[in-house]
Amino acid sequence: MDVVSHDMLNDNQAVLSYLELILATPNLDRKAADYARKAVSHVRSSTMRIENVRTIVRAGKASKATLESADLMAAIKESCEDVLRAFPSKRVEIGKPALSGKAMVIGGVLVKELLITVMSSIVKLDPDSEATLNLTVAEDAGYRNRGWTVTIEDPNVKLPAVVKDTDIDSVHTKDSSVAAKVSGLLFAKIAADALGGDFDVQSGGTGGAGRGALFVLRLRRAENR
Amino acid sequence: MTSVLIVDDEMFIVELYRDILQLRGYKVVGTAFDGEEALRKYTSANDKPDVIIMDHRMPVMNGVQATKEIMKMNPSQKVIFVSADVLVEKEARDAGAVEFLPKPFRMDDLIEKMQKISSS
Repeated sequence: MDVVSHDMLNDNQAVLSYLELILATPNLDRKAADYARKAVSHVRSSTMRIENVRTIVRAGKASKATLESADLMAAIKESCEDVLRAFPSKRVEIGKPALSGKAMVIGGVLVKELLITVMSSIVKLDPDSEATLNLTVAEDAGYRNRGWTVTIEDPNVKLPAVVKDTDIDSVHTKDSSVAAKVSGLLFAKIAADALGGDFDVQSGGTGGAGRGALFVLRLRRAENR
Repeated sequence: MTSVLIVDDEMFIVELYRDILQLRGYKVVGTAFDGEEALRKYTSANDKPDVIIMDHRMPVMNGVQATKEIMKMNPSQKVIFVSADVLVEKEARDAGAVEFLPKPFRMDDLIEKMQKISSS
């Protein structure tokens, strides 16, 4: 599946670029330009569907990760470092709590990947040249026989309207153009569920003026691991 | 004129990049279909290309490995990494790539990266 989707994206690259070259042709017939624009739109939809299939395949790995544990504090530290390095053209600041001791959770290597995916998605959704993420970690004694909750707030992120009013995993049924932008969050939702945890997005926070959101990831504590 | 070496194992992708870049006034000085061929051509070139456009998933030697080897020879070489594998971005940047473009990208995105590198 991985190789096939890779090749399909290569094909889409060629189709998209040649359509763009056609659209850049001087004095292009108006009707031909309309046809080309419609074709571009369909290539983008096709790319989105391929990304969704990849997301599902990636999340499928989660079932194996339920057998493994990871130190949440170490995963937060490493994922923050990775995210800060990943956006050289954007100023990203991450406020994180003082991390001391260990907090073992179920998920193995997927825990770090989940954190990176969520934080990267937030940075990409943030429309400004700077993004500020504030992380808090809390032990959640009441959650599914004890777990840990990681809350990431971006006071400035502007979520697409459909994301605010819909569960992440059903966004694609409402608006396919938005689904492509939030495929990372969809992955987080599927993977967290598979690990026995949860992930959801809540609009609000301290941003005001329709901005700001809380991204809440809950993971189960790993007992005797 | 900014010179470019294109590295990708798909002939139609190489032709596509060549069409776009030549149309926008860039000089394509070479092409390679895997990392090892890219390394060979880079080593033997008297005039090194200003920019290398590098794919990742290729036979014989992948793009990350080829980038690492090229950076050993010339740490200031500019490499734009282009891949359908978004998860390889960190590896590519760690190897020395200055820019990363996930496929499929818009033509203007590639030209913007080229202009950014050319003017730096």
